[in-house]
Amino acid sequence: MTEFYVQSGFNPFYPAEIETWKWNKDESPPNWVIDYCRVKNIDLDSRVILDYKRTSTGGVELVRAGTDIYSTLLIQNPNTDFICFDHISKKLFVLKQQELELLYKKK
Amino acid sequence: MIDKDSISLLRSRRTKSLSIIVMDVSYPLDEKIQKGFDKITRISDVFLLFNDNCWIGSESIDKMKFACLHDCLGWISVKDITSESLLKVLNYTTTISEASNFLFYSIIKCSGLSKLTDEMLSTLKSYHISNVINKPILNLVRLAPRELHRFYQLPTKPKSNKLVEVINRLKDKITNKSNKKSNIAIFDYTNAHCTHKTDSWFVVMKVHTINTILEFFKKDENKEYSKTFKEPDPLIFLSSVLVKLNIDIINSDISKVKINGNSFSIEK
Repeated sequence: MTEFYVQSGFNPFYPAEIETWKWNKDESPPNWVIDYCRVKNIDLDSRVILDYKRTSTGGVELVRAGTDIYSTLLIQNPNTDFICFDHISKKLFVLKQQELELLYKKK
Repeated sequence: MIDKDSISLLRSRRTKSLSIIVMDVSYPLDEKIQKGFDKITRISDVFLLFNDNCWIGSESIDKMKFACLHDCLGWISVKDITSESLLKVLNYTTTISEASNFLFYSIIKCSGLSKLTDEMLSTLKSYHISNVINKPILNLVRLAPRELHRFYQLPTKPKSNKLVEVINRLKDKITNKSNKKSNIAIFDYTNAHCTHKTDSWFVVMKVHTINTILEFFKKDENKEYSKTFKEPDPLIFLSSVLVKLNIDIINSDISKVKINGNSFSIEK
């Protein structure tokens, strides 16, 4: 499930408004994740399965789509980290829970 | 729109040291304070901690404008400058990437900046360069019995007029409102702990001390502790936390500490 957040204060290095999604391999990702990450498969229930790798520290690495160089999006802790997307600059990035709480509030 | 009690960051980090300045003075700043302020901004990044009620009036200047003009890293304006606001700034400046990775922290009262001397600045620079002192420098003072009494004092119920009380009760009956309890929250003293304060206006410490303090407050059982400090001076909170966590300190003012290469001395 995705949620919208807006900046509570002012930080020019982060987008003013973002949409977030918490990684869950059993859940079909939102369209903006599918657009920017490599898809591995679409199962019979039309659920999209992303191309991902588990790291030795328990994290998840999503492979970015459409790049010549192998580039990944690292989610250090899938239980607490949020995948964020800025619809204006089309930027996909990860924020820890504490960072999200300090920078943003729910819209 | 910027929320109240939220942090505004104006630029990214430039130096390895951060000075958090508690703005406890009125505007326009005294000339001596202004000079001290300028000296500090030259050697470290500055974060301003404002009170909502200060600088209101025709002579005042917008807080954002003031922070921009003085090339500060960021600022926050809070209802009351308490332990919570200081913790919020410390959390922000250790977590958010563009405003983090500081190695040295100074917490300064703006009113004291008039006493900033060149010797103190050179000591501060040596503290940043040298590894001789890794402990925080502040002058701890044990709280006097009267101050202890004030800290642990039970909140008193405000006196109310009996006639007003009866009218309010009648009003509630007419509007079918249930009897509301008193607004005074029962103060929980199990977490309260305050034994020391500091008479220093300039407290310096390294990042590992800040990390120890923040780690302590990440635990759920310790979160309530910071809320027990109602004093408007965040340095009281800081000194009490250092004592509670058994962190070794140099019990002196920075003006009395002299660092020469690989050794340091404390004036008496």
